[in-house]
Amino acid sequence: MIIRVLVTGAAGFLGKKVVEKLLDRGSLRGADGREHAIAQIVTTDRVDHSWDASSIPVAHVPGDISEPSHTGKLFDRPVDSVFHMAAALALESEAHFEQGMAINLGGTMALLDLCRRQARPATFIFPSSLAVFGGTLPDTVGDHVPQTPQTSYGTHKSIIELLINDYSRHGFIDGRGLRLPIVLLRAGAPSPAISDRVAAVARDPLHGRDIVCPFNRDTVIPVASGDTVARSLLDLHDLDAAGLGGQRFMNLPSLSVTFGDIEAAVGRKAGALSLGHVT
Amino acid sequence: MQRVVESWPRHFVSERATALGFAAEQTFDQIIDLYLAENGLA
Repeated sequence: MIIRVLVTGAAGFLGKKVVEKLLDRGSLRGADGREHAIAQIVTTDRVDHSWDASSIPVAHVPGDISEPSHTGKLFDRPVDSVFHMAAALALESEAHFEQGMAINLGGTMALLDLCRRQARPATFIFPSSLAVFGGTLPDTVGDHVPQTPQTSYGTHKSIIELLINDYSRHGFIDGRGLRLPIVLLRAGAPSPAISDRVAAVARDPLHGRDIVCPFNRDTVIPVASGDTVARSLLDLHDLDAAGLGGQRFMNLPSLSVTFGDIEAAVGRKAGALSLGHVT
Repeated sequence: MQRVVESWPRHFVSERATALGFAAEQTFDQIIDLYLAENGLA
């Protein structure tokens, strides 16, 4: 058996890391519990992207997953594993409600339905989010805290968790997911995401740029690196399905830090780098 | 933005995920070191 993998949102921060990890690893665990070589990776994103030459063929198919004619093309041959990283993020989903619904719910439902029509259930990996939780929360949020999202983005993630649990119960897919904390540090140009404003508190001074921290120094946030998140999603793929049961989602354990902690950690690089100032 | 950030969980855990071997970094310095290495700043 060989494995054909689909990665959506592949040109994004996390999507790229997932593809890089797949190329590094070269194999995934199949439904039979054995390790199988990855024969092909199909990537998709709203933007075009080219991958460096590798021993595993990677085909990028640019397009919008909310367009049925595009998603259909991704399944022109059977797909064994899906890493569904594409999403309209929180600010985009708040500012453009219909677009958020079309990409996050419409696009995901289209992918799930295409998987359902396959002869063999695909392993479907989905990054959910801490945004499924909201409102008045306990100091520590575990898997069993009721989901009360306060944003459209969090609502979409919560709905998709339910759908993936149900599709898995039917045997249409083998769905699994991790609820992600704030993923840091994102390189490149600033993006319209609150998590990017958080990342900038560390990223800008590391590049010698001054920044005014827009957050209180004693505010606590849960974080993990993009590297840890991508690796964890591949590890989740390879878990024995028997141990997952009917609840296919769990929180990714995270590091809790204050913005003061972030500033101090950046300051400890002062000997090696010419740092910008955080005020 | 401060209000949104304050609405997020402060401590985010899962006994189930921890038992399965999932874990994040232990310090923020590790996250910075990864970033510096990935971006040729180390």
